[in-house]
Amino acid sequence: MARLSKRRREETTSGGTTPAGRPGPAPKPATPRASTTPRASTTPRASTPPRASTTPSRYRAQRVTLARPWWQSPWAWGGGLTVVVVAVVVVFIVLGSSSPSKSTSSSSSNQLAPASVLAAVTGVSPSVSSTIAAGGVADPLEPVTGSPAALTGPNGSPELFYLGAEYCPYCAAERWSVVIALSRFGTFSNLHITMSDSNPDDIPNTHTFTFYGSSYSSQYLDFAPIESEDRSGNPLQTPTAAEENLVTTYDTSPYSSQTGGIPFQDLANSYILSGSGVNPELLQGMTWQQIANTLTDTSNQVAQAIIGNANWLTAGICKVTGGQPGSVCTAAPIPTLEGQLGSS
Amino acid sequence: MESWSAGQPRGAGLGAWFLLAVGVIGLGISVYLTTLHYAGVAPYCTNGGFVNCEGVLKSQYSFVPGTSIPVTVPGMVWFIVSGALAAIAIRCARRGLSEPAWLRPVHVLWAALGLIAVLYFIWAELVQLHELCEWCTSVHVLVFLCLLAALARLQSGVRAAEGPR
Repeated sequence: MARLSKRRREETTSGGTTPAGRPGPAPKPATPRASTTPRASTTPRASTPPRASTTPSRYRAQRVTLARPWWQSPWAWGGGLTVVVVAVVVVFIVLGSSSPSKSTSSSSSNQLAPASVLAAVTGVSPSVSSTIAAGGVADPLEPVTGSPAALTGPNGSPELFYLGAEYCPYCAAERWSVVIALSRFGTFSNLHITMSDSNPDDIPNTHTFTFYGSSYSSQYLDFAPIESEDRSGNPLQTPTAAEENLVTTYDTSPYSSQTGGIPFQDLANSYILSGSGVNPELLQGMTWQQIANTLTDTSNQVAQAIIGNANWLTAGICKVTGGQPGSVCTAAPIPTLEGQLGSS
Repeated sequence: MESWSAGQPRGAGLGAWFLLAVGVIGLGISVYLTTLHYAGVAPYCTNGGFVNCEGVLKSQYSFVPGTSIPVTVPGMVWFIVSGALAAIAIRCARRGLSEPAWLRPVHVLWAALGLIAVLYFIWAELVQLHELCEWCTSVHVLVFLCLLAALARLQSGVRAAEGPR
């Protein structure tokens, strides 16, 4: 490169004018460039499988645990059901405590007498009856004095009036004999079974029949039963004024040791039966079928008491029916017992 | 949560075994009461006062309406069916099979039917008879527990079908 003239060299170093005559920019001081590390030679990258795009952590989706709705919790259904059931039971308890009577109709809670039990009481063998005879039972028929008018029923036949109650254990025991005796003269229908009350201080749950809701048909005898109260002591049937008069007149001394006691029976105004000829304690713990099953065993205490008592009642009925029917009233031991009855 | 992979035996779960146990116990009580009924023997229970099981068991409400069949007979049938449904679940688990889709809902329905009957009997005891029967109450509790267990199994089955959240 040709050297600039001396003049040009001087003008250049002293801030001389540009060739056009204007002053040129002041020369900048030379700024030293930062020394740069020479770039290392880059080796070509080995091919790598494409990576899934990794988003910075701050953008990563967060797992949010959503609260389960309450109705989907494990305890919701079971807990809800429990609450509902408890509420229903509480309602039943309130209803039960507010209603004093189980039902005005005891037959709604009593079962019809099973056929096997009915067969046993209506089919007592004549030989068994004869063998047992009085069965050690004392004469329960108290003759009525004063010769009152005969008590007859709607059919004009001699009437047996019975007053008892379903709760009464002595009535419970007596009914077995009454059913056996009356079945010899007629037919029961719609006879239900029940038990005496469950009072543990009494003789509880004596298995028996109930005359409530039943009917009796006979050409020899009319039967007028009154069950005054059910097992819980709630009113069932009310005696008529005439029947109440019978009770007032005869359910007292000298015919009854306990005024107004039950069971009370008036046989045609000829005989009074007060109380039970069968001790209900004999029937404790026995079901209807078990009691019925004893009625074929002449050595059984229960059979002796029930059938013996029934034989006495049969003898009394034969007395007021004039010995009718003959097949019953002439069969042993009835004539013998009839002869032992007190006379009015 | 149960493993549902076919062919792999797995545990049947506590619920199924509980339901089977309830069925067996309930069937035992029903058989006991039914046998005593036809034998004419009173069951071993409290007799007297409010708790009077003999009084309840001899009432009209202890018979199928219109028949002389004691309600313990349909009770036996109920527990047999309930136990059979539980046994199906256990058998499927042991063989590594999936339970039939209808099994759990049907068990809930069956248990619900039982509960309806139970509420009827409780009404009869408390409102009509004013007496309680111990044997009856124990059966009622078993039926109620059966429904709770069947419901729990149904719920667990629904959650398994939905998958994890």
